[in-house]
Amino acid sequence: MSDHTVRAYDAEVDQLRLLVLRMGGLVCDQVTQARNALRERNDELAQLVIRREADVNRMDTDGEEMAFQIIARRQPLASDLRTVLSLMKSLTDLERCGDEAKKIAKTARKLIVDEVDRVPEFGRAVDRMSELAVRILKGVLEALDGFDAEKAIRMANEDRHINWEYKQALRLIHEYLGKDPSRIEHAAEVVLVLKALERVGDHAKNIAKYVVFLVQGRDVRHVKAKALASELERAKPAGPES
Amino acid sequence: MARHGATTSASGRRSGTIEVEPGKTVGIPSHPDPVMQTRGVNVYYADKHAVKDVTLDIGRNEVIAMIGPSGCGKSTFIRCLNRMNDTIEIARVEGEVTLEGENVYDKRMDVVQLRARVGMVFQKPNPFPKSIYENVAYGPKIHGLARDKTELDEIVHTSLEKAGLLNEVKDRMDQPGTGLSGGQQQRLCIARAIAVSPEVILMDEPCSALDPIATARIEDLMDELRQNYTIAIVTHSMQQAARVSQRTAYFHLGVLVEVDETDKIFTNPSHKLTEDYITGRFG
Repeated sequence: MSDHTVRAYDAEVDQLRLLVLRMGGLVCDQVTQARNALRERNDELAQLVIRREADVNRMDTDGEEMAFQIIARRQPLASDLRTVLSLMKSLTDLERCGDEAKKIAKTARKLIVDEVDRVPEFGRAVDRMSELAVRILKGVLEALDGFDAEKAIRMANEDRHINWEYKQALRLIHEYLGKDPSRIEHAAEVVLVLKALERVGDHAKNIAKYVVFLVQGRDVRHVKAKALASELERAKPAGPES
Repeated sequence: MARHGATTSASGRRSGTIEVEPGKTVGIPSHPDPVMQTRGVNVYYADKHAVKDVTLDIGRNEVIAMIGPSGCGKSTFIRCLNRMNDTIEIARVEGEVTLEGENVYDKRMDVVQLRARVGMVFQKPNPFPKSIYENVAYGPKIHGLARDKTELDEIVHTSLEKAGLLNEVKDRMDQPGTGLSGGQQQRLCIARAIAVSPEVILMDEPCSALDPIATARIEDLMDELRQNYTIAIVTHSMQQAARVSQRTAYFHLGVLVEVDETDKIFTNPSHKLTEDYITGRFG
């Protein structure tokens, strides 16, 4: 794609795009560090995550301001318009992912302060979900960086694994509480963490769908990721016949 | 798209030299209820091939915008619709242009009558050096549309009203049209076109000499006029095309590259040249 005739326009859109990617990187780290704080019972790390939430919020407002300026000054059209709108909507979802990381960090602090005993099964469930959530979010950000709608769809479809893990973890907690109801408070905190991670997956899926809108110009927000993935599969050229 | 400077566009299409093929228009060049139709229209200025194989329907009660870089043939094309190119000696038009099924280029077609049915508003307001009243009354008089002075007054008033100018000029109808502001003069020209009850109004960059307020008034007026007339507008303003039209046609080097619903053209055009032009990447 050739550049805009007005070169400052390219610079402005690039600046916004890079800010969204930087913010995405920070949010991935926030989720990972919040999980680490929980696993390691590291109060300092949990506090760092809570403090850095302000940076995430600032990037959100800075990004919105940049997008407003581009819309007001350049009146973007077609793919430019889709780019600015998709980036703007991605900011909102990333900001909410940041909120979820902060919730996890706060829960970690509570468990640390209350000196709650660990339940290894809970920890493993949180590990699996946080790894999945961060992997999907990173994949979606790569798809955004590369204008790769196929990758975005594959990543959106991965979200079902987080949902499956979430249901499994809830079942595990129910079973555990059946045997030891005294851990109800701890279990409630863990459910909050699991729910936060499940939401990170949902936000990543939203961003994946904005990438599809950006690249293909179609609004797939209310189309199931599974249906998009099947469509992708059908569109693939058939392999060589054996 | 944003990976500016990258070799692949957001839609995954490779950049590079894009060939445009006359007659291979992308999108929806047809209309279910056409007032005018062109089929394989070519226009030559001496040896220069200015419009190449353009097939397009102009739909009833639609505003259709023609966009494209300077020299792309969009003005030449709309001038074919009421035979304004006849006034240019070296111009030659081939192909078919019909108005309600009648061949516009038929030898029996009365060109004066045709230009009443397909009126035109130009870039620079061009009122006659006569009074406001006479500017609007001139057409109905020569076409014999009024039986007496009362009927003529009625036509003049109605036309000025439809052009949104009546309230501003009703107390000075005898004053020269050239004494009005630019925006008022342009609305006077619109009133003059309306006075002869046209079916189609062609507008060639009607707002390019006007300030934003006068432009807004003309745009607002176009939306009202659409209830009774069909409008084909040539404009260099993407925002104007996006605001006023229902369909937009993109011309490039004399070829009608793409025509589609305006909503689609400005959010997700199909042809890369259209995309490059409207996003300011052209050239």
